[in-house]
Amino acid sequence: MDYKEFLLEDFLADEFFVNWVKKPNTASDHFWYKWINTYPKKAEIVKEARKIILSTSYQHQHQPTEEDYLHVLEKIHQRKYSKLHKLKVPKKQFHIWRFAAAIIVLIAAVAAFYFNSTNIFKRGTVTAETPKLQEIIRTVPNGQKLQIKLPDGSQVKINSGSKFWYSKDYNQNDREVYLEGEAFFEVIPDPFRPFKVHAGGIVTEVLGTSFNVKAYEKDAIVKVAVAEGKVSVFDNEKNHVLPIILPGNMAVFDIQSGRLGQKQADLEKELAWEKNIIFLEKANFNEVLYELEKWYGITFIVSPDVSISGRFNAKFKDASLNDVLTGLDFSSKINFRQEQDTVWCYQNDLPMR
Amino acid sequence: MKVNYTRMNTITKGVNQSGKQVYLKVSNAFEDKTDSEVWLAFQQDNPKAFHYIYKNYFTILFNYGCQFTQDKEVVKDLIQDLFIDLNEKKQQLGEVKNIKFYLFKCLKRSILSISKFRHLPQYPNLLQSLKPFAIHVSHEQEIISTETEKAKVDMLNKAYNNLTERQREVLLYYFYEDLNYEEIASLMGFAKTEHARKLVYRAVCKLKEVMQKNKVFLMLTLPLLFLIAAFIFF
Repeated sequence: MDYKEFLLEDFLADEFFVNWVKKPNTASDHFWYKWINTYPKKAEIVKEARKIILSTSYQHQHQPTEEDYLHVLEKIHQRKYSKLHKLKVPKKQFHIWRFAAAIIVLIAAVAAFYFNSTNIFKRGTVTAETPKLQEIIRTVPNGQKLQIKLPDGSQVKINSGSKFWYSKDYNQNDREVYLEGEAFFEVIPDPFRPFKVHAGGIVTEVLGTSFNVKAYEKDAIVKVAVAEGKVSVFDNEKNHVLPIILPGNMAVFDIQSGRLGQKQADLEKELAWEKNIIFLEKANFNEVLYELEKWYGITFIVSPDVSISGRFNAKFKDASLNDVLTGLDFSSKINFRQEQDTVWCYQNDLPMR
Repeated sequence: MKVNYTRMNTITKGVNQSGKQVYLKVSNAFEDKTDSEVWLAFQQDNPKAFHYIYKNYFTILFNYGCQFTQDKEVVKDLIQDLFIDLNEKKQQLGEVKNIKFYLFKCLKRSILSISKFRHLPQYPNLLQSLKPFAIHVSHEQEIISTETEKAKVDMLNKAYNNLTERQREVLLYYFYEDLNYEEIASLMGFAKTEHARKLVYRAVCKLKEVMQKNKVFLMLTLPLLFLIAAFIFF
């Protein structure tokens, strides 16, 4: 439609027009002044539309006090989460509900059994329903990896520090699995039973392919990198569905905002762990330690006088912890000492214990 | 109406060597940078970029959060947690082209995620709002001068009152917060950008309709009343 046929509502719904009213620049000024001069009959409508746009504002403008502004800023600097933060971790709630559901089923089963045996229901038979909540859960601690075969023959390699589970009736009607952490999937093709991975607020659906899902609890971004075949990814509410993802690309889901997008994947980096390679790219000291804790099942205790600000790029294949620590070449002043599962990191002298 | 918060926004708290609290001026070095540049600086651990973001968006976020709930403490807590999370995870986050939109999206998401706790006795006002996203045009604005203009404003307010909550929400995003259709669709949870455009279009059609109905009503009733009055009088 042409601007000269526009009615009031068309102007109001037009992004270019609203942009000019709110944030005029020389280009849009030039266009609209010229346009109004050419169609002077439309000047009244334009004026009216401008008025509506500029006068729309909140009835209740809630204004924080100066104390609010400073108080919140102070808490942010102290990295002190509010009391609401615990509430937002959804898993606990989930477990309570599952627990409640299990108890109800149990009570129902016992009651049914009891009534049945005392012959209160003489004619009908009440069968206690077997709870369908049964799940097979695999937990992989830090320092270990696990390769499993699912009932349909699909292979899953689970990375350290992950939890992976699926229902006992997997492969009967559907193939759905759940993941917290990281895993690499090689799925046997089955056009009638799509394979679904639930992880970090998104669902990855495939027919048969291989791909990597990374969704650790600490991560801000959930990544689904595709090595072979085609993969579709959508969020739990199915509000956002990405176009099919092809090999060499990955879906990225920003947990904080719920943004779901797609970009090119560095497969060498994303799949390195599966080939037993520690891959560090522009990692800061904390990220390096986090990666190594996961990889070797150790805990670092860093003396407060240690500060390492550089970024590290490195690749280690089948390396021991010692190889990695010497290979990273932090600084001659930094020392590491291992006692069982704990690694002390200190400067020059071991701190007093 | 936009309120001027410059006094509050140009200061932020710092602690000097002796431990006494002092007020520092927030740098204006980012004033002419694009959002992407500011965000990148923030991701690269530039504390000035963080303060710039906080200074510019705290008040806006606070007002936005208060549209969903009457509990201002909850809004403050959520903003606090949001910024801590961003600080902790900034290196992992992707590119952000519009910081306001990104923060809105994060805040709305966390508000929705705690909404299931509204039954808890310690949060009686959680997700209770007087009238979410209420819109009001005030008479004091400079563009409104004459009496007929004032009548028009009243009519517009009546029209705004007739909109649904979602329609008001979308109009505030679009006319006041300067978000584009793509961002609005994402904030409202629409799968397609087109849905946001349709919602806006329907809302402005309804605005126009109500305003015109009022106009017709006024034009019809006044002479009629006059006639009746004359009839009774004679």
